[in-house]
Amino acid sequence: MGFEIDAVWGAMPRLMNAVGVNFRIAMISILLALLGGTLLTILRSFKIRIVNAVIAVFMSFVRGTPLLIQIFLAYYGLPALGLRLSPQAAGILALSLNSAFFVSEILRGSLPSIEDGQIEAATALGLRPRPIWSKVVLPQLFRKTLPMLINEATVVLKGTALLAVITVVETLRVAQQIGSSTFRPFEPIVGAAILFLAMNLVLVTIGWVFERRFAKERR
Amino acid sequence: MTGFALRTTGLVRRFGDLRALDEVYLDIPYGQVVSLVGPSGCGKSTLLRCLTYLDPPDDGFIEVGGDWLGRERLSNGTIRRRSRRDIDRVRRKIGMVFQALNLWPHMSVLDNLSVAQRVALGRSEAEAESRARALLDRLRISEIADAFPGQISGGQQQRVAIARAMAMDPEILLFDEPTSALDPELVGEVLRLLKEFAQSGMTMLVVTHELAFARDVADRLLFMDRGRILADGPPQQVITQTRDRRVRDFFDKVTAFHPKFMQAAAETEDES
Repeated sequence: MGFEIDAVWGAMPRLMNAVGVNFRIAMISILLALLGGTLLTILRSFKIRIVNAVIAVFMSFVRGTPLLIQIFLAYYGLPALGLRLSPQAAGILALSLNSAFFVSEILRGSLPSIEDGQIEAATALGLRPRPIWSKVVLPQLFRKTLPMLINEATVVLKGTALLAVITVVETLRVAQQIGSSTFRPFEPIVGAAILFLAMNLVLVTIGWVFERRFAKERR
Repeated sequence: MTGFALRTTGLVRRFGDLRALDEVYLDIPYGQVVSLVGPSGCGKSTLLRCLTYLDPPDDGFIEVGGDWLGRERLSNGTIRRRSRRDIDRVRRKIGMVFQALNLWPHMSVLDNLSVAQRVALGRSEAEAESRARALLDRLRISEIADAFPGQISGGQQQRVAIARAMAMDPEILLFDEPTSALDPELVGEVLRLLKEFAQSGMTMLVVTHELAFARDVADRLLFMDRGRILADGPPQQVITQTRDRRVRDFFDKVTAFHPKFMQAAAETEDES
C-alpha cells in the first residue's frame, strides 16, 4: 500500500469543509489571547505582589504542562467544578488562556524598550494612565513584538488540531475519519498538513503586510 | 490669582540623606523669562521634575497659575493632599520640554501634537489639528506635519517637542537644557527661537549652560547649588557682581571658556 497522491486530493473536499472550524476557533482564540495577554501585562505592571505571585503560579502551570493536557482539563476537568462547556468552547478557553500567558510574556519582554521618558512626557502633558497605555505604550509594544505575536498566532492555529481529542470535528479529526473509512490513514493527514500550512501562510502574510506598514515609522 | 505663573514655597526633595532641593522659594511672574544655571548635580533637573510632579517633592508647595499642584495649603493653615486626577489636571498648565525630547516615535508629528489636546483637554479632532498646524507654522516646520519623528532632523525634533508642550497652552514652559543635545550650528537657531517666544510674552524657565542665552534673552538669572538658589537677579548683575564664592567660582570657570562673553561682560562693567 504505497502513497497515492490521488487519495490526498480525494480527501480534500471534506477536509476543506472542516478548515473553517479551525480557522474560526483560531481567530477567536487569538483575539481573546491578545486581549487577555494585554490585560495581564497591564496588571503585572502595577507590581502588586500578591497578584503577580498568583499570575506566576498560573504561568508556570501554563508553560510547564502540555497544551494537550490543558485541553483535557478544560473539557473533562471543569465539569467537576460545575462548569460544563461544549467541546469548541472548552477548546477556545484552553487555547486562549494558554496563549494569553505567552502573549503577556512577549509584551512584557518588550516593555523596557519603551523609554521612561516617553511615558514621562505623556504624564507631564496631563495624560491619565489609561490613555498612556492605549496611545503611547501598547501601540508601540504591538509594533515591536509583531513578529513574535504572529509566531504565537501560528502556534494557536496549529493547536486547534489538538481539539480533535475532545471531539471537535475539525480538520485533523475529519482526516482521521476519512482514514478509517477508506483504510488509507496517511494521505488524508498529508492533506490536512497542506491545509494547515496554507492557513498559516495567510497569517504570516497578514503579519508581513503590517510589518511593512510599520517599517516606515522606525527611528 | 497670585499674579504669578509659577510659585514654589519651601520646596524640598530628599534622596536619602541628600537634600537635592533644600527649601526652594521661587516666584515667576507672567511673561518673565528665567534662566537657571548651576554646576551639574546642583538640583536643576530635580527642580524641573518636581515642578512637573514627575518626582513629587517631599515638602513644600507648588502653585501654577493660582492652582495648587499636588498639595494645597488652605488659608487656615491646613495642608491637603490632592488626588492623582487633580494633579494630572493641574500639571497640564506646565509645559515641559525634555532634554531627551521624548517624542513618540510611532505617531506622526501632527499626532504627537494632537493626542494630549484631544485626550487631556477634550478638544475636538479638528480643533486639535488646527492648533497643531498653527504651531508648526509658527515654528516654521509645517512641511513635516505628516512625517514621523524618526524621519526628521534633530533641530526639527526639538521644535516638535516645543510645539507639543505649547499645544496645551501652558501657563509656563520649562526647558531642560534645550541646546545640549544639538549640533553646535543648531544651538543658535534654538536660542533665536526661544528669544522669539520671550518677545511674544511666553513665561519660561530655562535650565541652560548657554550663558549667551542667560545674558541676551533672560530677564532673570537663577544660580543653584546644592539644592539652593544662591543668586537671583538680572543676568548681568548676577554674573558680574555676585559676591558669593561658589557663584563666583562657577561663573569665573564658565566665562573663562567664552572669550566673547568675557569681553561683553567687561564692556558692560565699564559702562556701569
